[in-house]
Amino acid sequence: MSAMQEKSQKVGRANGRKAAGAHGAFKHSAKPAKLRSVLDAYNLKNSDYARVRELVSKHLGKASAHGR
Amino acid sequence: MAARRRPPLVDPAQVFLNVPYNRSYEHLLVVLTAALVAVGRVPRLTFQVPEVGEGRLRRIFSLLKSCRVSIHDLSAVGIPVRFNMPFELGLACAIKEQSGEHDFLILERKPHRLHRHLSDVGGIDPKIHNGTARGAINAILDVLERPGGNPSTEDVMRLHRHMMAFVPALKRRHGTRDLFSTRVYGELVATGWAAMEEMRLI
Repeated sequence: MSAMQEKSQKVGRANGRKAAGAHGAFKHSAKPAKLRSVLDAYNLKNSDYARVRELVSKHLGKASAHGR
Repeated sequence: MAARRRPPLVDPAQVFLNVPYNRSYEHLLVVLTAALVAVGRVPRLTFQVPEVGEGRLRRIFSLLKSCRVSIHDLSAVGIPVRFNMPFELGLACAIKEQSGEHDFLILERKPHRLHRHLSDVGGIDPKIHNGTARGAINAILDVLERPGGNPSTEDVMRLHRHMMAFVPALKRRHGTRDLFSTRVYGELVATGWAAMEEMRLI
């Protein structure tokens, strides 16, 4: 580690903040959201999702038929 | 006596997305949305905040507080300069310092530029996406993960391409020219979830 980096880390810690490059250390893990909470966040109904799902299914069917 | 305000519950799956609302940024918005959907997160943006007479700032603050993580792309503050995004980053810093229940990620397009414009965040390195889809996806996959393991960058690139293919139809259906409304953006997110299910990535 260079002297500059070391100094930067010390300063970061002294200020109570993450040191330089520390964003790489912040790895946030969470249980994936449930579909229901996704729909609720956007005020979508099950029927909205069913329509979207059908369109996506058709699109992906086409996409795979074209080898994409 | 005024009722005591109940603090919003923190939802670990919700991610506050602080990005510019202009059409030139739409592509990166879809990229970030695809990456968040791919790691099982629910992106939240300020246009989703309902108008209930509490004042816009309080509502933004509540939304930010309810999210465990926030992502701030300061690559396009733009001219004329818009101060909303750095301001919301400031709110996120305050929440992190006070509650300790918040983490934030700063995104930038170019290395070293942020510290010239916002020296207060010296010591916190932004993730550089270079304005590319791959760069933005890797930035998200580097910091957020699903317990079962993240999908690959290539899978998320594929998901993003599928979502992009739906954007023109979404806009036509809602008679709008952009994605920046709860209904249109919500359907984009739903499209991402449906594509994840179809691709068996969930």
